[in-house]
Amino acid sequence: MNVIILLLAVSLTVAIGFLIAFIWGAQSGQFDDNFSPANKILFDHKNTEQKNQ
Amino acid sequence: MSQTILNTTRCFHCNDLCEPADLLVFDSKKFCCSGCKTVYQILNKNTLCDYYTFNDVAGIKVNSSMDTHKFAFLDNPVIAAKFVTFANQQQTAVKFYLPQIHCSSCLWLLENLHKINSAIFFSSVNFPDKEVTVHFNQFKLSVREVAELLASIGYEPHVALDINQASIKKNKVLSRKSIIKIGVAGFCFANIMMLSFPEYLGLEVMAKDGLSVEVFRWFNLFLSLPVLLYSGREFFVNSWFGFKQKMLNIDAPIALALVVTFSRSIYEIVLQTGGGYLDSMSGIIFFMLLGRAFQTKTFADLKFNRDFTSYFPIAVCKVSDTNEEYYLPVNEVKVDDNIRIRNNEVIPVDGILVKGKADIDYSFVTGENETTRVKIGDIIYAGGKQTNGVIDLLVVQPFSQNNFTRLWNNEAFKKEEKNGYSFTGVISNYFAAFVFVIAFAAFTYWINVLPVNAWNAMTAVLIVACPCALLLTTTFTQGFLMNIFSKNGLYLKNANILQTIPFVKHIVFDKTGTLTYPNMSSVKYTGDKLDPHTEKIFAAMFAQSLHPLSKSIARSLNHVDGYTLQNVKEVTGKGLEAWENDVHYKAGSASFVSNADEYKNDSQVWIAVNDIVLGNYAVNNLLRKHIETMIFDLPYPVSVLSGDNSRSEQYLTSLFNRKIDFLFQQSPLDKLHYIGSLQQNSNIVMMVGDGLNDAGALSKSNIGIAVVDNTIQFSPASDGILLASKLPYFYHFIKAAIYSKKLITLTFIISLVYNVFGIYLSVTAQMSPLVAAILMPLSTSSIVLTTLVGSIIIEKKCFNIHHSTNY
Repeated sequence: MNVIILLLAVSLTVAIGFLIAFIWGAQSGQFDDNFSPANKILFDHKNTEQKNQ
Repeated sequence: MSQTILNTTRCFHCNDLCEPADLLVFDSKKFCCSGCKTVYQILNKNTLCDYYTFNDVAGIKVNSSMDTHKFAFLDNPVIAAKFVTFANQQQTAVKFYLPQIHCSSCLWLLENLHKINSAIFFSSVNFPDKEVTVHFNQFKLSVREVAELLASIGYEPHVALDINQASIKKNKVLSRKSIIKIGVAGFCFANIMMLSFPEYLGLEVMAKDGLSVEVFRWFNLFLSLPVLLYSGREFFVNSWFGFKQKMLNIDAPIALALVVTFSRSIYEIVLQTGGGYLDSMSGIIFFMLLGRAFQTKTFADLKFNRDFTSYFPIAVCKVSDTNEEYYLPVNEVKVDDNIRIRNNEVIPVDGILVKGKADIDYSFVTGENETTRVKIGDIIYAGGKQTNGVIDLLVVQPFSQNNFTRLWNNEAFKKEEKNGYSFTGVISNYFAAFVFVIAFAAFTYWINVLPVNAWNAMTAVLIVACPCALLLTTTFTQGFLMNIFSKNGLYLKNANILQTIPFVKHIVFDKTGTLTYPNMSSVKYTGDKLDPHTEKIFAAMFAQSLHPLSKSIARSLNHVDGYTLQNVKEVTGKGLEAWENDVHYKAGSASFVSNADEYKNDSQVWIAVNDIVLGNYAVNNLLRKHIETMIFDLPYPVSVLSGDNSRSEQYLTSLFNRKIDFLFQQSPLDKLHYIGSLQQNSNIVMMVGDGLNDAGALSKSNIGIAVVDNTIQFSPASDGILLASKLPYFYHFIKAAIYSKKLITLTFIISLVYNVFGIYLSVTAQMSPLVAAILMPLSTSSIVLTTLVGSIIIEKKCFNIHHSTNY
């Protein structure tokens, strides 16, 4: 059952990795604007496509 | 209402209802004004009409008569540099604040500016801050032209002196920090809960083969450190500040509960007697932070404590001796400079009129509704707005010493510390005292009966019965309510104001601009019926005069065909005379028209043809829609203050079907003193106003609400900003605030039930970590759920009125 201790340590390390990713994301401003990125992805680029063709 | 049924043509661009008279058709699409049509033409030409497909109400109404000089000041490189964020050999980037940004269409259009002008490389939008950064070729395009391009498609950059970049940045850093704090607390809370599972299930007895529950406990302790030291730090800091000022604030009981919980947990873990209450502790911190973040959600585009300087333009057009115009920052204007003010511009300095016709609108400063005619050689005070073409002024006082600045800096206008009425503050103090008494009583009981239990019982009481539940109900209810309010057009500065609203005893309204439309009046004709020809002559006559009353009447007579009279004479202060085909027309004051002085009311304009009096036009302020019913419904004493003269009293009294105290000719200081005198009778006074003349009264009152036509408009410092179109719902907001107080009481009772149960277990020394682990999340979630459901019911009850009453 000692393996649980090991699993515990591993799972916590992974989870802390995600926590660090979250902190990094928040500090670099990823959560500042929760509107534009979500909408920008939905816009078509009609004109540039027409030019390419 | 009948009008809205008849007229359902909506503008293709701005989606406003079109007046049939102004309707324009282009490309088989209908437009309400030439401004909207122009925007459509620009977008159409550049194949940007997708703009209209993303949202139904995307377009922003454009003022078609935009002054071409509006952004001329950006030609001054020093001023333009304030907006430049980056520049090198190839490109320049400028950042503008565009308060009109509101939907994905805005985002799309503003990021496609390069399709309209090829000198623009790209542009990017910061949606929450409503800012656009445009990168462009500085050799082909100027900063001024970028601003004008934005204005031409409906996004006129908002430039004011108070654009305070530093504070925006600070807010951003703060909000990032609070997100991280919540994230850390949530992470640790969830992991501690998980690791406590063996404890909850009593697995310590099964830990035979070397797996000790101790390991889980030490992991928990390790995880709880960042919660307590990083996320929970603000509770300790705040209560320490309060303590230093000899005040017990609401953070103090939380800090105490945290300390007790944490030390008892360490004690148990070190002595291996139990797992402690680390899950409860991190849960409390997590939920409290969450509630607070929700409550302090800021309105990025609203400024409650605006400096008066933001009311003024940032640059002035100076005219040199050789009659050349150039722009310089407003605080660099010196005495004896010649400055040029264009139509609809605000005058930033006191000056003597040297050229042009000055009709100054001082309504924002004095509350006076009508414009003031100024003669050449007379002084014009800062703060007024020119309404009649271009004028030149000789500066007599620099910006920092103008009359207006002095008024603003008047001691009486200084913001006083307001006494909020914190209902929960009082209760939580009683509650804290009550908990201490019980904890102490439990301690003294057990020390005599079974000393082993004494410390356990006392700390358990403090842990379980911490006032967090009460604070949670308040923060969450207020958070929900603030959101509901802002959705419905009332933006409150902070949550404490919500708690003060139910205690209001007297409501004071400003008249001009608040209850009435700022620049509209109602015109009513009484007398003999005029034939169309006579009416046309009079309409032309009024249209040719610049007197405010004439202008109002001309507007109401719909003088559109441009008919001009050759022989019109204006007798200053009396009226107008005209001769057409040997008929003598007269319009003006009663004494001027008929030589009789029995008609005293000077808001009436009498008309006569060949000295036969036909009737009169009564000109009155036009009340905003549904104000009468709104005021009638208010179950409070109501006063109406006005800077105007009292001639409209009779008219106003006849409109309202209830008792109202009218006070006329009130100076800004009079208004302030009036609020003060009401407060002396221990009244909680709410003031609703709009102009700078109300600024003193707004800050003196317990709750000052500024009414604005749109949120970009400058408003005096206030506790809340209300959209003028939502003024009819004013009483609904008050009702909602009263309901929210009831909701807080209800959730408080629920949390009290949990507390009594928890305290019973603690006092009788039966509290176990498992019970605590169930009790804490259960009480928290049921409280949050109750406040959520309650808030939805309040919203339904108070604001779901659009269907029943069609405002």
